[in-house]
Amino acid sequence: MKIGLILGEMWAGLRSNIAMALSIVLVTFISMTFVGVAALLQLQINEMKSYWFDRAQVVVYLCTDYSSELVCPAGSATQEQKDSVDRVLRSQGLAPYVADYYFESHDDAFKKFSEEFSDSPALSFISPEQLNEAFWVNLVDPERSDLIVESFSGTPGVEEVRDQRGYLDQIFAFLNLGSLAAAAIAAVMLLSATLLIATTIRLSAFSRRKEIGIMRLVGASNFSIQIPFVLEGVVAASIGSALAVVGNIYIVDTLVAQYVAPQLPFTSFVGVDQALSIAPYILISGVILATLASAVSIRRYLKN
Amino acid sequence: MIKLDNISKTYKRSHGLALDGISLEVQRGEFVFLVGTSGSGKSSLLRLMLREERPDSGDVLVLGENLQRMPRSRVAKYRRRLGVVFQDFRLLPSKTVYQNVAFALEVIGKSKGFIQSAVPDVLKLVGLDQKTDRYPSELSGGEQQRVAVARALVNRPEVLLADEPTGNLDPETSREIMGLLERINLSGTTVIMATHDRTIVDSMGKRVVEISAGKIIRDQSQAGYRAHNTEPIQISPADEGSEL
Repeated sequence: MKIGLILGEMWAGLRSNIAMALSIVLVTFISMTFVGVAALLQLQINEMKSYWFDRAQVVVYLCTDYSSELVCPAGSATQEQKDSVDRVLRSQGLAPYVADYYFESHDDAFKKFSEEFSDSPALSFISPEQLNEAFWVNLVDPERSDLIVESFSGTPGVEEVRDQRGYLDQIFAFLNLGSLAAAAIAAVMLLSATLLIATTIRLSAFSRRKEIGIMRLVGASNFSIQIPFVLEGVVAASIGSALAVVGNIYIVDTLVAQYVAPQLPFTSFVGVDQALSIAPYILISGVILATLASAVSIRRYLKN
Repeated sequence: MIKLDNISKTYKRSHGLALDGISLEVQRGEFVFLVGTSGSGKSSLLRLMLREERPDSGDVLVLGENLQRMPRSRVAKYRRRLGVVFQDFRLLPSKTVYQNVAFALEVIGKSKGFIQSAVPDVLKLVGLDQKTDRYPSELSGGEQQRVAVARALVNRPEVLLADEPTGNLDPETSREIMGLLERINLSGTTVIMATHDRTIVDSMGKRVVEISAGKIIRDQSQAGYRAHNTEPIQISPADEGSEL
């Protein structure tokens, strides 16, 4: 069968079934948009991880006179204890993992606190002695924070060892949840897209059962009978997927760049580049989905 | 040409055998009527020859092919060697006479050149060369059946299968269609036609195979059959407008 005839049959099918064709376009649009959002959120998480994890520090907080007696029975850390922490950070065991570190005194901590909470009334109740002295440690490999935690937990004069990544993990867990939710919605939507494509193709085949019957009688090959129907599903789903790509670009370019990014300075967000990088996958999976759904559907229809 | 060898078939819904040990041989160039009441099995036989169905047992040999053993992928190619006509014409209402006939060639991938020469030829053969741009709804029943015959013939089949082709037509029109089928047969195409119209069968004086309850109860050539026939109806030459 000639290409022109195949395309003509496909076009006739789409036109005679315009409402159903539109519903395929819409449902693939929505489902593929959610697939894209799930993917973009994962990219966002990776982007933030690589940005923040590199900057995440491990902080060794030293005891103050105000610390809990359970962890700091001797009160404020002595100079000897500070020197001991400093020695351990320089020791052969830890030095290879430590990129650099610095000591923050009561006064440094108070200065930083004053800057961060300049408007807060709490400032008037806080004295430098109440704030912990601390060693701020940058690691060569941020993943190895456990080494610092193990080395200093329980050390006399150390109140707490805190890995800043702990805070980030909560943010990432939250974003991950968002990504999973988008993926779950996408999965349900993809299922309904598949079923809708299958139903639509059956309907289209039913409305052209006379043509199909004649084609079979005069000896048209199964392939040439089926291909217009498969193309029908593929064309509709491709339009939907293309709309989803446009939707994803809109989300990163307008919603994220204009509304979310200004709220969160110092954070890099996924942009049009990433949206375009996932576009081929969205288009290809839309086409594959439609091909499988309509091919299976038309084959089953023709068997009966 | 066509050989059915001890064919039996049961349908799930019906009771008993639809076809019960049928053996039948048709030579090249023959004109054979399959007669019998509806449900006797004559349409089933045609479907077996079309390989729309397969028998439960027995062999169907058509045009040198064993349809029992033919793989699914070869069926389409095989059907291109047959022409089929039905009682209900099965034309596409949205296509003109020309387009309906051309469609049969387009979907099997024939070239434009072939289509442009074959379709007018066959439309002339069936006497519709003046009505190529009409739609089926603008044609009489007899004319619609001529379109269907043209479509069945356009790919020059070796066998024409006709299932009650006159079932929806008045006697006058039926005679026209029979005249057409006879001329097609005279040109060398084997014709097998299922019908329950006694008048037509009697008028033609061809081989008659009568089926009842899935069995062949009579297989008579013209001479034996005509003995019972007092007044054979002749096809008037005036009905046949075009040469073969």
